[in-house]
Amino acid sequence: MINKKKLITAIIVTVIVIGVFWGAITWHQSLQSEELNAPLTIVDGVGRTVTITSYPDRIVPIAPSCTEILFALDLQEKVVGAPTYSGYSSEIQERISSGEVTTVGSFSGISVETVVSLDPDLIVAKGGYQLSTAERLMELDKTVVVVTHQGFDGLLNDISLIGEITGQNEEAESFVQDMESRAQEIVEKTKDLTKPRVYVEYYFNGGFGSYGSNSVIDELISMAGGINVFAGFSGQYIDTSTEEILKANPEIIIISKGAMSKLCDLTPRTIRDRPSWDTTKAVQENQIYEIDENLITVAGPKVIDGLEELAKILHPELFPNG
Amino acid sequence: MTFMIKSEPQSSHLKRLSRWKIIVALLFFTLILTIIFSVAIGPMQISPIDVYVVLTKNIPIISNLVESGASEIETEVVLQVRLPRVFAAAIVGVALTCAGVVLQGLLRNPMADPYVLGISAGASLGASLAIAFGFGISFIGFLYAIPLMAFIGALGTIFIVYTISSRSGGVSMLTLLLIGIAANSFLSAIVALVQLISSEVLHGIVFWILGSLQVSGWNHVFVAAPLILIGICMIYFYARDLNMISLGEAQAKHLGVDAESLNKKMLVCASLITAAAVSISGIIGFIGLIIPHITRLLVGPDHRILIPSSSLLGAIVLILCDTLARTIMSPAEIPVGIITSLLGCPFFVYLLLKKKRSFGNWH
Repeated sequence: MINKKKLITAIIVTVIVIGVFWGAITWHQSLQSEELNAPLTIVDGVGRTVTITSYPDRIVPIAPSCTEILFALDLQEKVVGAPTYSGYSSEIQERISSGEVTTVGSFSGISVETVVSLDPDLIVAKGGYQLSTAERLMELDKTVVVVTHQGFDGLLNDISLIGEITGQNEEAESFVQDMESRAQEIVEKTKDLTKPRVYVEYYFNGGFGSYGSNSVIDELISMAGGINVFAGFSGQYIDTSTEEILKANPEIIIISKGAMSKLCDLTPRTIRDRPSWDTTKAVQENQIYEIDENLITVAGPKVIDGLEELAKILHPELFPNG
Repeated sequence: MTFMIKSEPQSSHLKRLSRWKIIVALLFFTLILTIIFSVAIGPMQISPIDVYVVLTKNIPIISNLVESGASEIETEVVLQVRLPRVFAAAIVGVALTCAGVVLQGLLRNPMADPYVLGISAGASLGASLAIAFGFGISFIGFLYAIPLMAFIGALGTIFIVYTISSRSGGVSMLTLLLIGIAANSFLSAIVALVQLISSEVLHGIVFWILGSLQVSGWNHVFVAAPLILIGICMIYFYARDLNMISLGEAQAKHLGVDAESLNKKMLVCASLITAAAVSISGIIGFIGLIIPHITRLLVGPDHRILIPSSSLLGAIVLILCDTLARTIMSPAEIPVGIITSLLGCPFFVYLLLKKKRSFGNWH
């Protein structure tokens, strides 16, 4: 009697265990969208040769822009970790808060241990600041692809590259084409118009924080048919003074709106009220605008929206319907 | 130092007096030249002639003689941006140097600077609180809230340091120095802790601590200048007593100086002028430590000449450094403290090596 009961229990347990494993394996296989016929060798943004033997299933981007690119290419199911970033779209935020995507630190403070514990088969890092973190992960025998998205064209190349190594070639192609045609339209429309001088402020700390020619926004401004007043400064960020801005005499002032601008109480009104600033054309003609910093300062898929918003501010006559 | 104690022959006294007059006159003349020179240069290309026309426009007779070629923006830049900034640099330079001279003399310590008694940390805490209380690091905040809170923080700290030091009867300068150092570390730790807790909000304080004259406007100059002038006049009035006390309190008492009351008065003055300077410029290092030493090497240790000449030299140096700070990397600005240290320290070492013997007799 007892033996029979035990036998039945054993059989049931065995069936359940086998069933769970079988289910897990099929589910796992169903995630692999496409198999590679031969190993794929690519050269990444910092000139390293990376070989991919199979399309990745567990991807960890360690820069916010890389997370956005992966989501734009419909890879959300495969992203298992991502850095924190307040500017994410709600889709990414939801997956993070539901725990489907684990946070691996912030852009400037990535937790190598958390990244490794997620057992990723592809890590996407951004060059420059993150290079040392990327190198540490390479030492740990992880597959790391570094992208730099330098400039608008660089960004498009990176999207294609990420599409290639993840097996999402078609999605990447159509996404890149869409961005290219939207950008092309704006460049065509604005290229023969007079270019207003634009000053962008993101921060005030006793000096005024703006962007030099190595920044994303500098390129977006010229694409949108304007001139960044600090385009002559080769850095990315510039800390400047009242006299420099009065000298530049901007025709349009744009507040790069985000945590920093909120902290420094940057609004069109507070800028208008600054002593002596009423000598600039922008204040006299009340041309002070705000744009979400996530659209114009982070080199990600959203810059195309930022470009369109900039074009509307710089050349409203081209967009009669708002 | 003998000249302070023994009566000297009349002729040598007069000779020294006339030498001092020449030194002060020369430095004052240099300061005027420095101001004129610094106002004329800046990122905006304005011809020096236009600058001076703008500057003299409000003087009745001259304004009829010359025609201004400056545009509205240029006028604004000269009168509302450059000129107040140059004056702010001048009064901050004067205040920090003079406070450095007094504290080095009172504490009989060559390492003393205006911040040694906890003023810098107190001011930083005040500024941090201004930001944490939601005055923000906005433009308006930089104009009013931060300077005010920094001023209160600096004076409050000095008051507490002095009160604690006097708990054991009379205030010993050594105790004061040590408690000042303790207060500096303690308050700096609080500032760091507050920064850590609300990292994003207090980000701006880092830049304030570096010291900068970027937003200095006339309102800053008008508020700080009277305080600094009164303080310096008081200090100069006691220059002879400072000479004696820098020999040691016992000696000073022998010579009829009420050391305790002098200490108290001079500490109040030094703190007041430092607090006024810090409140408008943040913490600019180096000037208050090294300029007094440089001046001592050049004119000798007598406070009657040391105070006016080091104050003038401090103003000249800070104006020049700030002019470099706003122009050499144009359109970017560099914190003025970087310039003061980069240029000043090698020069100081050069002077030290050249006049090695005088340094042994620093006080």
